[in-house]
Amino acid sequence: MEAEVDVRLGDLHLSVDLRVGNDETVAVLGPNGAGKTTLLRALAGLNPLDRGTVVLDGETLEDTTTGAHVPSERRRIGVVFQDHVLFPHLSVLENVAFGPRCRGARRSVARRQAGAWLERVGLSDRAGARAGELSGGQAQRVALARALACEPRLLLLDEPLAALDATTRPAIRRDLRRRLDAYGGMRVVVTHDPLEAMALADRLLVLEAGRVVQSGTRQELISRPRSPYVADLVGVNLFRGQARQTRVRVEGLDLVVPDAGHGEVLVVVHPRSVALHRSRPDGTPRNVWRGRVEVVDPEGERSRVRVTGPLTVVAEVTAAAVNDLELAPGGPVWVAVKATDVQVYEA
Amino acid sequence: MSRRGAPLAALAFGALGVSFMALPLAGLVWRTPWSAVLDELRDPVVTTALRLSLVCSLGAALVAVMLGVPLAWVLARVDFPGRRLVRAVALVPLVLPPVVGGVALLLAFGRRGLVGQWLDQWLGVRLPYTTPGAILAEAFVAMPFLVITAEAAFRNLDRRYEDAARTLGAGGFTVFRRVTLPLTLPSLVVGAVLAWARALGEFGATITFAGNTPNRTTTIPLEVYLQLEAGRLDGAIVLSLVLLVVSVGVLVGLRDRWLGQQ
Repeated sequence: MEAEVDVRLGDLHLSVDLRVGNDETVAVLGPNGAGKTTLLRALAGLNPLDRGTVVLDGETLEDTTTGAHVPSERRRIGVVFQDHVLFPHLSVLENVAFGPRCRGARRSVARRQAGAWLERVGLSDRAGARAGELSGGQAQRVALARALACEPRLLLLDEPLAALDATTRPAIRRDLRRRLDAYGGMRVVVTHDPLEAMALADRLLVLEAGRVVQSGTRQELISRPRSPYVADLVGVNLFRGQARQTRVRVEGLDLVVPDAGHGEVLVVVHPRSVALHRSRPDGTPRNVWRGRVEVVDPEGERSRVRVTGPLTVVAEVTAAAVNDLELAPGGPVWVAVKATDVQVYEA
Repeated sequence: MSRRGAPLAALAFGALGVSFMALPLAGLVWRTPWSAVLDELRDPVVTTALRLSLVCSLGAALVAVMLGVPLAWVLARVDFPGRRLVRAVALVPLVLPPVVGGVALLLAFGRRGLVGQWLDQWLGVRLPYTTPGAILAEAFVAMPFLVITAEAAFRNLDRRYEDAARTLGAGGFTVFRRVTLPLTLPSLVVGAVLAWARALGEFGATITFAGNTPNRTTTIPLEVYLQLEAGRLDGAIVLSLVLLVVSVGVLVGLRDRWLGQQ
């Protein structure tokens, strides 16, 4: 599928190029209001494009230059809506049979197909239940079965796991990944949860305020975030600076780095590479400065400590270190980062 | 709010208000000639009026549904210039004196009316002073109740159910028939019942447009009027009681949807 989507909706100006290959899952990751759902609705033909094209398997579904527009009901695009949106007045079986019925199958045939899909998602025993009687995980599988029963070429999933509670989510996420891989078509998953995006997708596209700020594999995103939002998602410190070979001017500080060339660069420091000390450390670290503890967030065995100063950074230290260093908000602390732990790449 | 906290004056005025509403009803029940009720209801004049009222009010409710549901759907779903004006026009009979409605209907559907002259000339259809005319008059007054309820129902329905149906391959009419209609049906039934109840009690527009001809246009409210005019108070009371029972029945039947939980 190749799409160039340009939609204006209220304050949002969505402008995205999206390509999805056969048997590939692309995750669209972004904060609320970034335009993720609008993008899905535009692909499904539920929101008109202001400008752009949508091409699926060589068939033009929409082209604003020619005025071509294939209505939603004739696109081979399945949608799993957020909160599933199962029809409350129909049984689970009738929900899944809805698509085949609309596509011309006789009632008995549609019901047989729906039964087969329910068996595939392991819910044969719930065929007669109403949508409201299902658990979140079950409703999600029914929504998937309902979409897949139409045999779409492209499957769109909008926050597929958001309606589930935290305890069941990991298991359902693994299960969903397996089912998505089993269905051979193209998949687009929209989510605000980086964990979900990375677990479900082969390739990620980060959307902010209607624009793609970065796309790539999970590894590319983690090692080379290109925006504060992405850096925040993957949990690293990201700065923008001016490089002069082995020095990078970042905010109020000169960082010593391995050779970085010249010009504008992005600088990534992993929180685990940020060391904290009570007094000025001696020896190897080339980058040392004095800061003040702002917050200490315990996360299991480790704590994330935000330190303000000439450069505001997040350090990740053990809970024991928090005790030994007597780290508390407002207290002074020395920050040290080895030159070799500073990654620099072109902005 | 707890009763203890309510000021005495407010309670007194509240009691006055409810008395004002309840006393006439109490008077009606008090003066009902209970021993003669069955005889009155067996009177052919009365049974004719009852039957006619049933036919006309159900017919009017049907017309209101057939015309009102599509209109409500358009008002709820289609964004077009002048939508507010169209809605206002559709709701005018709510505030229009029924007799004015009757006059207006005469000017539109009367033998020399805007549309009526063509109906007469081309199709030989004359509506004034006929049973279909009575149905038309009742439908005119009753339809806003259906439109207002149905539009709210369509508006309150989560659009994504319809979107989901479309992505599953349902065309516009299939979406309406298999998703929109079943999901809004309870509200549409409420609207139809309200419209029917309004049609059943219709007097002003009916007598103005359809006249008062026994067995053709004399529905219960018109018969009540005739009986009073003829000095037959008992007959008027019994027929009024019938309408009162139906009204209370509708109120009780719809209490959860119309009166809230308290």
